[in-house]
Amino acid sequence: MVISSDKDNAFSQGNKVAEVDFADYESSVSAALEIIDFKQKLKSISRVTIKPNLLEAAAPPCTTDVNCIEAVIKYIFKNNSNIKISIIEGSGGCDTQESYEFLGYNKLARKYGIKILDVDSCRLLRLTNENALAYREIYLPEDVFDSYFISVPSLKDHTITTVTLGLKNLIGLLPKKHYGGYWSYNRSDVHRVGVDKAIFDLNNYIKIDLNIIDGRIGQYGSHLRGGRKFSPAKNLIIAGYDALEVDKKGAEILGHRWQDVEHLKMIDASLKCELKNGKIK
Amino acid sequence: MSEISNIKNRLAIIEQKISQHEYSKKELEDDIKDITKQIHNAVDSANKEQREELNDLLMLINYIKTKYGFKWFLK
Repeated sequence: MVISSDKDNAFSQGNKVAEVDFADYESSVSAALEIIDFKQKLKSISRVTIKPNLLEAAAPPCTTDVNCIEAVIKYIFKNNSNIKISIIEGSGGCDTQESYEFLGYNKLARKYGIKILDVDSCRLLRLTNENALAYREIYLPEDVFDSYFISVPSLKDHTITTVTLGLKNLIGLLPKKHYGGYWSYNRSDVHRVGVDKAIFDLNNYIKIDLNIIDGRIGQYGSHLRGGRKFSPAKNLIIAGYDALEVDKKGAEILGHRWQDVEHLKMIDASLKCELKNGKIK
Repeated sequence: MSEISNIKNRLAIIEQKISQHEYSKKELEDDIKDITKQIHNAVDSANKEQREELNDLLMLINYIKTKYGFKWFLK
């Protein structure tokens, strides 16, 4: 069964959210991307950067399944073989290379001749935003800004932020030399400033062009390794250009009202100009 | 939340037993599995502040699981 819905909020350049029942990664990811007509967009794209969620060297659903990323890559190459693809990540709980190796991403990169980037060794850009809530000055990987950016999170609850989906996935782009050190996690500074504020700022600095949620299994209660898996599995792939709407759908599937998820509420309010100094009017 | 206090007390006992080498690996594994379940249950009814505290406890438990190389956890 394939469901698609149109919303009238244009956070990104389109507003259709595709929700496809999972059969296997290749056919389900492809079906979702067909619904949103990604094929058409690929004609004018030369570089793509894909950001999975590899929190640590732990199996899915704690992390994005490498087979989901492979399905995205196959779809891209099938429709435009000239595109240069990179995968980027900065793991929270271990060295990023450890996650890449353990979860099969290095092997994937060799198979398709794509680049694997570690946020902690990328060239960084310094950006500023006077209206930021937590980071008026920020350092982010240069590669994210000159390519088509795809966020591919795993469908998960988060102990602190309720859900961790496409928008929150951007935390893994903060280099540890600037954002580590608050406690042992590599991007732990976001806990010092407030995770929801950090997510809000990151999504003002970086525009997610496409958000694809790997909802094959789903994890509830906690985002950490060893969290509880949904049984039966959620068996879904969700995709859309409007990252906020895709995350709202993901939150709903996880059993939450999006209005109860602070960062979704803040970003939604900012789009409706209802946010002032980090507080919803 | 008294449940968090219960969990912390229980964790302190586990840590003490570890430091005094009173555990067989099987016993430690059983206790860790059980306290993980207790934390997960507590998360379900916790408010935001309590969730932050429970998150720290889960991370501590995960550290123990990793340190003692529980295969079911690491795979």
